[in-house]
Amino acid sequence: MTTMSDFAIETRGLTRLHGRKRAIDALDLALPRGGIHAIIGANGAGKTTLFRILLGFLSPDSGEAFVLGRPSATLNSEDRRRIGFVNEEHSMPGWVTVAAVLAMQRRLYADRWDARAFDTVIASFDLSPAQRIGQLSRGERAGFNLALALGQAPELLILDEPTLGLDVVARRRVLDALIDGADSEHRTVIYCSHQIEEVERLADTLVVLERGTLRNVSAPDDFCARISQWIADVPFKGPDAIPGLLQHRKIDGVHHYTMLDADTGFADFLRDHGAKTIQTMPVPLDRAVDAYLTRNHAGPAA
Amino acid sequence: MFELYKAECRRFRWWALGIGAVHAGLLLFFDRVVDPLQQPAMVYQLVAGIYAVAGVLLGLFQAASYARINQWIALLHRPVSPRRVFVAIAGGSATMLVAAVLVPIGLLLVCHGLTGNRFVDMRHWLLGLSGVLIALIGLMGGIYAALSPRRYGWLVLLPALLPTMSMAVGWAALAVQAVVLALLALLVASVFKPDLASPPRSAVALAGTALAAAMGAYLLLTVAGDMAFQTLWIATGTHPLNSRPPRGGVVEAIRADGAALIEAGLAASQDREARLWREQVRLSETFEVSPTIKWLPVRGELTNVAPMEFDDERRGTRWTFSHDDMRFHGVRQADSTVAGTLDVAGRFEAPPLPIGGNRLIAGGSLLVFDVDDGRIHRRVRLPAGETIVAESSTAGDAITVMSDRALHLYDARVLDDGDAKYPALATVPLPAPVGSLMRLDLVELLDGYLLSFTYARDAVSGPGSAWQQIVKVDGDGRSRTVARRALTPDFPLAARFAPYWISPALKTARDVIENAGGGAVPMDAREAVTVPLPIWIATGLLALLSAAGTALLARRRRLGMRTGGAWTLATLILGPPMLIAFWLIRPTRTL
Repeated sequence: MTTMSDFAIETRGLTRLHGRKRAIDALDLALPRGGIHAIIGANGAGKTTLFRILLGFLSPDSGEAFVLGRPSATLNSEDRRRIGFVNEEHSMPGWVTVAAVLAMQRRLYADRWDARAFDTVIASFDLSPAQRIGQLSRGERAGFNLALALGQAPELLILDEPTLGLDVVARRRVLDALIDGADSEHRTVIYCSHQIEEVERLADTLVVLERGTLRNVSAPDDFCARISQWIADVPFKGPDAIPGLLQHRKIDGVHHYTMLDADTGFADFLRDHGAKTIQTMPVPLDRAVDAYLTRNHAGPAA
Repeated sequence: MFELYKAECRRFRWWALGIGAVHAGLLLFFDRVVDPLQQPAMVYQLVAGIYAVAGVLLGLFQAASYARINQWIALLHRPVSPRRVFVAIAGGSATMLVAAVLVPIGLLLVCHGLTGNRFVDMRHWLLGLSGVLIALIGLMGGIYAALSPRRYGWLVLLPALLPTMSMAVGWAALAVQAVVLALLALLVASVFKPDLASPPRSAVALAGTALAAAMGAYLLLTVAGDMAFQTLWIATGTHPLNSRPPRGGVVEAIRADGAALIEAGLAASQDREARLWREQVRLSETFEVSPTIKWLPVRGELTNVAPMEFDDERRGTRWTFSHDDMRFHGVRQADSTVAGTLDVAGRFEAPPLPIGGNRLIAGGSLLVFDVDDGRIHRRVRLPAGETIVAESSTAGDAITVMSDRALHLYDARVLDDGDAKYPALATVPLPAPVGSLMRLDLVELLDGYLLSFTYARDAVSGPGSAWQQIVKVDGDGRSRTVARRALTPDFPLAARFAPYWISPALKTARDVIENAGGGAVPMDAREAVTVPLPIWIATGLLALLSAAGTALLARRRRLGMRTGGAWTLATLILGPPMLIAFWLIRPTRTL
């Protein structure tokens, strides 16, 4: 039985502990059907754990998770037919031949197999049908795996850092195919990547996870709009406590502040602390993400 | 999923071919130097162990290659039910395993008949099938061990070892193995699901897992607990088996010299002749009648209690018994030509067991192979329904023939001329089931015999009662009990009855499993065990405490009334092992 829902995925108070660490912490997230939703976060933010719970391969310690309207723990084989998944390792049995994997995939998804999407991606790779998966390079395995996932024409495609190891051409073809699928087939793509330029090109929605908690759900442009760069000539070391500060650098005696949700009031704040000149400018997505994630990232501050 | 099945077959095909070739080479080599079909049971148990280990290793290797979560997602996240994936995956490895085990065995059985004019019974073909089933049991065990949660998976597998103690023979043994295989396959199917860390989702699978885990915990508590207890006891230097045993105890009676034991037994006698007998015992030779044979051959059994063959050295012929036609088949050892068949007048009533000295026992008959005429003669035939359960031994001028019901004394010449000419000198009914008999000592008196029956089987560290009974046999063959004394248990009550108070229900289940498919074995008959009242009280208290513990844990885990109640009730019935199972499985609210 298929349950209709407006959301491709939905979580309510989802929590998952890894030992004492909260990998997912009371996560309330709902992503609508259609479009490409990018999930970003530092290593250990809970992205992969979230995907595993969504697919029913991990149980939450509390809360609920739904995929295409169905509770994750009860996904059946027909639900799985509608959901494609590619993990970052591109795990496939190394002893099976390319031809056998392809034959199996075509037969399993015979009712919806999209040969064009498969061929578009696989064209970048010179694979022999008799080759074993174990004999493929990481890039070839990634390309083959992505081509298979696109070939099965899923309603929902979940990709966990899929393009690692792909060359420039193959990556472009994969991204084109993703955009094409999302546009022409109304596919929902949930995409996790550390490649911000890919996210910038693909994403309709940007989800930021930090230490298992949800920090942002918005269009990438809206996220960028929240983060701004301020350059101020403030004497000495400048103010000590700055609300909304993400990053601070002092270059040639001039203070560079990367701020979250800073408005004109911040200019007044700087002037109050003796700023002689103040400049503000927008930041590109990669720097916005970098600044946002640096705030609580483990390790020394930048 | 045929592609997946084929892929798994291809994955293991070279391994199967290589191991199958080595297996076939070894079997054919042994066929040239010994008779692989006439080995004692221990040899087959060793080979079965090798097949099981091979299956376990294959299962562990195969399942472990999928058990990492990304591989597991790649395997199961597809529009096919996990059960079908399991069938394809396990079917592929099972096919290769069966090929590597069965083809060489089949080759051996075919070649065995072609070389040296030897024969192959139906039971030997079934033995090959048994080897396959044992290998497959190992395979399922290996897969389960790799996929099940480490907290309790190993415990669930322990009961699969119980059928190694099974009394089943022939087709029944195959049935027991098939049932174990089917149950293990169901257990594997229950863990073949996306979330490997969580317990089975269906109530039936969860109940099966919990029962198996409880039985595993029970076996661990009884076996490992007993070992730990005895080790500590030995360390203190007061263990009765590891130091001077207490006076009047079971261990002292088992270890005593025959004459001293009979004297000790007579000390309790009120008979006016007791003093005279004690003096005669001191002066006479004491004979210890051979203890019972543990197993007797059963027609159609897969293995052999002992090699079912003997040699006629004068004619250079080896006679091997066939269960199919119940005859001995002879092969001349010089040129491997056929030397005909050997039977006994009136046919063998059971497969005959050679016991040395050209003697054989079969059912209620003692048979002798006469080297002079090259034939087998029935020398003793006991009354209908009696089964000889021990080797005959000499006691002065007499020989003893012990059955499951009585000890018969014959003139030793019965071995040459038969019981028609030399009927029994005396027949002494056994005071208790023969399976409880630990030792039997005999002294020849001036006017008969004194027999000392020591019943102490399962009474040293087990719950059996132990006593010594002295029986006087008159010169005319009549017998009467002249003394009886109870032997004091050397182990504490709690240790002797541990299998009962830990869980009487699981004790019963264990006995049922071990005896499943087994026929009536005379030597297995035991005196009924009486469980003392303090043990019953302790059992009840433990069950109540365990149930309370389960209820408390269930409440903490918010399992709900129905689920928590089911677990609590199960713990009340099965005792502490079920509490351990519950604690390890950590069930969620799914029942």
